[in-house]
Amino acid sequence: MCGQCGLILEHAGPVGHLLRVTEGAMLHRGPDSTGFALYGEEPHEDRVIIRAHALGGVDADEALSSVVQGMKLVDARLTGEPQATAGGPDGGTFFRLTAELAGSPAVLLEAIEATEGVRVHSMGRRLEIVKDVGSADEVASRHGIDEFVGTHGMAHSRLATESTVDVELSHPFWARPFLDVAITHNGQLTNYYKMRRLMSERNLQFLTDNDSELIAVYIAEQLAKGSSLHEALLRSITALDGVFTYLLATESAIGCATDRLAIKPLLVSRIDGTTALATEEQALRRVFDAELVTEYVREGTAVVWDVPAVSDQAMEVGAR
Amino acid sequence: MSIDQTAADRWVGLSDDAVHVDADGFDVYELNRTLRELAQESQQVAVDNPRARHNLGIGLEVMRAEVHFLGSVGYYCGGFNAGASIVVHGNAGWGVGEAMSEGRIVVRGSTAWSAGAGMRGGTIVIHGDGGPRTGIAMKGGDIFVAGSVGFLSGFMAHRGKIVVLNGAGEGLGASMYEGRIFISGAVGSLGADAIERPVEAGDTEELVRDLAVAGLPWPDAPFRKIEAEGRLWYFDKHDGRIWRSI
Repeated sequence: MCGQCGLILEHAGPVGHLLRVTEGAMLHRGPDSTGFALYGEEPHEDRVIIRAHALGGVDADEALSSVVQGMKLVDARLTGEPQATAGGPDGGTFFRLTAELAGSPAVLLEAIEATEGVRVHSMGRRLEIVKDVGSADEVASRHGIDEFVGTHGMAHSRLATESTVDVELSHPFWARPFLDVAITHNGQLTNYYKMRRLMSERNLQFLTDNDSELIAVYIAEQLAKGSSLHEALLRSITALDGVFTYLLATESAIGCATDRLAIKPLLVSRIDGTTALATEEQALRRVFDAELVTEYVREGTAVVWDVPAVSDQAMEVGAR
Repeated sequence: MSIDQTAADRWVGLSDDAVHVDADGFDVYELNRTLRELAQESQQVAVDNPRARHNLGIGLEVMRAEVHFLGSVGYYCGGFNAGASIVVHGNAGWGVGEAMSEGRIVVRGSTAWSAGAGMRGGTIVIHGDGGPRTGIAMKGGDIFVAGSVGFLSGFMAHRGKIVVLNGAGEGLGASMYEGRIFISGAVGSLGADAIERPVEAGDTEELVRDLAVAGLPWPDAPFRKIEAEGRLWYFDKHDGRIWRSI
């Protein structure tokens, strides 16, 4: 099962709230854990937002000061007060940090995770991944998702089939260490170990043994090498073996790819300037009215929807 | 090619006298119970705000009224239908009319996967496109689709009839038993053991009658009849290649 949704707004708006309501309609598809990948409205070229998690049993204050020390060692200066949020039962503590990015994201990532029991969930100029055990409503109220203003994002409710119920194994996954690339995935891969071995030989890193994380890194690597998102998604349809309908978000677009049967459904709808995607139509109808025209993404296809607000910004920058 | 709306409205028209029920006020069990009660007393029951919820109109029986869903419905709408007339004024999700035995379901939009899965009788009419696996494992009854159907439609159909006016995807009629598929328009491919047989005069008469009743047009391209060749009915080691292709 699993339920996922994606949303691209015409202008920056309450994307967190809309994703929470949409995802909340699919609780029956995956009650184990919920996560959100949210893209904020104002990117800064030299600033990154870091979302991290100190595991349950780790002293949050000590972990935070150790993380900040570690960041100093790689010249990543904090640009604001760190925020800390308590997770669910035994869920540890969640941090949000903003910092200047002096070196490469990989170096900063390593510096942060040098602290025992700390895992980075996302790094990006816009991207913030918040994921925790519990329903969409529980996770959203615990982490203030309703207040998030942004241009686009994705959400996912997980029914754990291939690994245990755990914060780190929840979706979305960040394609570490590639800034701003995130995935939600419905399905399971059958050539995971083969792909993982080949990718490890290229020095790609993974936080978990989860197959969905691998897809994110697989796509991000190709984007970094200059492929377009559409090319990378298309290539994945033959490279990956198994069942998959996944959403892949970047700073400026959300794409999807389906395997050759697309047994995991995904519906698309355009409402004025908004693009909405969800596993089930009833989820879209929680947010949008009866005029909604929906369409299933067909089997064996890759589709990319650009984020209009981001392309407008890029044009303005270009004009200056 | 377009749907004859006057003929179609004989099946799906909604009168001003219909009794309205707002689905927003009910959970799905209460709603289906309410539909059963109301349908004994009135000619037409109209359900407002179905909002693509699942399991609407499950287990309805022979009743006086038609039930109209004024919008899209979710999964398994009209499942186990035992005689009711149901009209969906929108799209239907997976498994519309699953395991129905009598009655009719008209979907004015398109359907997702597995429309009429395992149905034993009755009629389903889809004005838009049917999804993949339309009529999978059906054991009787008729499915009419004005648009196209997706891959593996008619897969393992035991009996019954699927009529499609505008093409099909890959693997049409794979591993059928005794069902019949009449298809007009392009076919991606025939499935394992599916074979084209000549359309006979009796078939044409039957189709003319069927389409007129369903309010669907006669298609531009000729019908082809797809049936099982029967090589998979009994195991023969010489047929290993087809068995492996399933």
